[in-house]
Amino acid sequence: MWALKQANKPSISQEALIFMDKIALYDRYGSIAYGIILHVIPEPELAQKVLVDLFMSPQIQACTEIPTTGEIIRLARAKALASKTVSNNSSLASTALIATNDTTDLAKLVFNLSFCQGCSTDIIAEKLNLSPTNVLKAFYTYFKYLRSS
Amino acid sequence: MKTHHYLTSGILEAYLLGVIAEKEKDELERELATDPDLLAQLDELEANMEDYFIRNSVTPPPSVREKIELRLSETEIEKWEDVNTTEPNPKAKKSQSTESPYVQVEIDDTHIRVHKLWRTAFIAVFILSKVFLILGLYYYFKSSSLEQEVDRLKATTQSTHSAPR
Repeated sequence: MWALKQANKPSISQEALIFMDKIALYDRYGSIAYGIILHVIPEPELAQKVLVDLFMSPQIQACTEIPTTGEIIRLARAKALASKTVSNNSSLASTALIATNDTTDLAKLVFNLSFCQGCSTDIIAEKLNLSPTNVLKAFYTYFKYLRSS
Repeated sequence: MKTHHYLTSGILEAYLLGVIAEKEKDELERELATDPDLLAQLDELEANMEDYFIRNSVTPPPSVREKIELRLSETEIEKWEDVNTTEPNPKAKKSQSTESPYVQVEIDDTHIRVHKLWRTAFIAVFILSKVFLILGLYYYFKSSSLEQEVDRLKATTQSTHSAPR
């Protein structure tokens, strides 16, 4: 009998494993990633699209081998920031206006600008009249506050 | 001292969030490679950060999972087709070159597939065969009983004619 099947192609079981790995990864980290994406893009429809793109991206393939939450957090943030519309990027100025002298509020603001808005340390330092060292210190303050609260 | 600086400067947090500058990142990674205490602190901080993000997680609607499954299936089919078209089997190539209107496939089971009309035809033939069998048996027994009757009548007639008057 002739066979149209081929012996040297990637095995079905391997492909199925990748498929299952991605689904398992989504089941485990989907809600964390969605929470982060919603943090950055507060529009559910767009956030869901980004979430699908995230779990279809080649970068997620590396995570299927040794999954870490840290990796997922960074990938979800990067994907959300890349998909964020230009109009949302202009929110820095308006957000900076509500800056306060309270250390925790300032730390929260720095976290928001950096993690959610994608602003670099230098830009935040310039806009908030802080030194780059103090901007980094704000991350420490923010997570210290989260641990204690 | 340096470890304490890293612990309170916010560099570790910025590193974990992926918002650190490249220069500081390289410097920290060099330090992490030589300082197991700092690495342990980083792991602990990562665990705390994970807790924060787990607390802030939001369950996506079920349609998202369905979309991912669908797109994964589509991707697999595309890959499968690509492999089939880019690396054809010599045997398959040979069979395709004959320009046969049929596709040759490997079949492992012992069943054959026929048109569904054959089923009706088979039932009709089966019923007719039974009818003819019953009719055949009926006429066979009937003829044999008639023969017996004829023989009996012949014997009766002969005995009547040959009886002394």
